Amino acid sequence: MYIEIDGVSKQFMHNKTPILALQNVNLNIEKGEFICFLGPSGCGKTTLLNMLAGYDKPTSGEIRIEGAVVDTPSIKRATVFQGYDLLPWRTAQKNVEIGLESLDMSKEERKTIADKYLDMVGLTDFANHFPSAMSGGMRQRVSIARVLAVNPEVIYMDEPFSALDLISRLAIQKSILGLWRESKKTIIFVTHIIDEAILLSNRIVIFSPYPGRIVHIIDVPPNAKKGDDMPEYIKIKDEIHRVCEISI
Amino acid sequence: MKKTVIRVINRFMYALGAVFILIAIWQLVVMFGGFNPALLPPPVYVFQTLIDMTLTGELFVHVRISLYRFFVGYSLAVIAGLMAGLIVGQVSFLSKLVDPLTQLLRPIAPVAWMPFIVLLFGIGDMPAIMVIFIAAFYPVLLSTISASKKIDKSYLRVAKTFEIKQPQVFFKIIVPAIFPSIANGMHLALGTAWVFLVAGEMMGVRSGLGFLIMDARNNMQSEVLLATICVIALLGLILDKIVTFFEVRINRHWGIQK
Ligand SMILES: Nc1ncnc2c1ncn2[C@@H]1O[C@H](COP(=O)(O)OP(=O)(O)OP(=O)(O)O)[C@@H](O)[C@H]1O
Ligand SMILES: [Mg+2]
Repeated sequence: MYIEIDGVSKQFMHNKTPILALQNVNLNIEKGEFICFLGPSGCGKTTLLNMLAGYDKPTSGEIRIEGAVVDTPSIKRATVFQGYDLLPWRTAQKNVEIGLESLDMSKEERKTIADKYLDMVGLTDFANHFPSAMSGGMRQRVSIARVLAVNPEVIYMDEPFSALDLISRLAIQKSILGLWRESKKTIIFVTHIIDEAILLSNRIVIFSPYPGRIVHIIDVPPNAKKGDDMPEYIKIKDEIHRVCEISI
Repeated sequence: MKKTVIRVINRFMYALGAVFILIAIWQLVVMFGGFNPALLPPPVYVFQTLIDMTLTGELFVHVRISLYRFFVGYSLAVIAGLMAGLIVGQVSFLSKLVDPLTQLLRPIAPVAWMPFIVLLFGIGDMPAIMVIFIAAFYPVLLSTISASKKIDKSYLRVAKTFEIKQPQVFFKIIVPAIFPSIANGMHLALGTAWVFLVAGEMMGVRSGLGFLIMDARNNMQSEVLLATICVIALLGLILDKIVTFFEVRINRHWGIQK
């Protein structure tokens, strides 16, 4: 197993009252999987992602990647955060390059890579814009390019397309899917849009809130991605709706 | 573009109007206030004096020495305040030490140190420079400390995500993140320090705008006194505008709308 989430619970203290954000979560993820976390607001998706990426520690249980307990963030497992945290004093291109600056490479190599990923997210013309001069959706795309640029083995994405319009969303979904098929990276992707989960992932993990826990895991057959009139697609959508109605 | 030009002109007209009203009040007080005209000269006379002082070159000499003292004191304060603020802001036990210390020392007017500074350094440029230094130091120090304490967590998270190590975190994240606050602190410090320029030059020196004021008082030259005050006000305004120009630019760059 590549990533093991083993009996993980997470409790926050809020005004001295404990909040159980996650309760006994168990999940194993193979290398090269595209996993979607699906669930309503407040069910602990971000919390779990934070722990997977090493920003936070479980209250009990353990998360292991290749057998080693995750205890700190690593450039090999980069995260696109909910809410785009670009550095306002850097242009789009320089924001994409920040991660590359930690790697051993020349200025020209950095620029080449930044150009490639800015192009992939459709922002070549905005390379020299500062975040203050970009829309929310554009900033979100820069933050995706920034993570892809460092070529991580695992990519965590927390609702990375939430600020995108439908058309750029479709385009970037396609790019990410292409990238995943080509590179066989492991991607863990948070969303609350059912269609997006079916289109992108090979497994959908459904969470329910209060306390956050996994209620169902669905395998997505390749045929389901071919269109919303495919029987596989309809079957999965029905299954998700049924699970959600019962448990949420 | 056209709109901003109109706005600038508009603002300028208001400023001009304000000055005009001030001069009008002054003129009215001169005419109906019943003061001795030797003590309260009319605006025209003061303006004439101002031109005379400019033409003889006397004013220029004093302005130059004042600006020199001001920039030395101010620059040293900015450098010292920034460095101290950045270090203190990073180390929490230091900030706990410095906090009560500044609260204790800050209320002491910079001029109060004056006699002491004269005793230590003697007369000359040093006392004036020191007074300006003390006045400018605290705003820079305090704004730097408070800004480095409340850096947006998401910026630091970027550093973690991409394994940016020290000292790069400091130069790539922390310094630029607090840059707008530093600029704001420098702006505050400029205003405060300018106020103390005159006070700093009232003792121990025989040059500068502060000296000019004291000298005019001793010789009962009200018109020179008022002309110098006008010069101090005007220079203060210009300095402020220059700093504001850079501050607005920085803020726009950082996406901060005021
Ligand atoms: N730092 C924190 N302190 C206290 N409570 C927290 C903290 N972080 C999260 N929580 C709580 O944990 C629960 C799960 O939060 P989380 O952010 O993981 O939800 P989410 O599934 O990502 O929701 P959304 O879809 O809205 O992003 C919520 O009830 C939230 O209030
Ligand atoms: Mg979330």
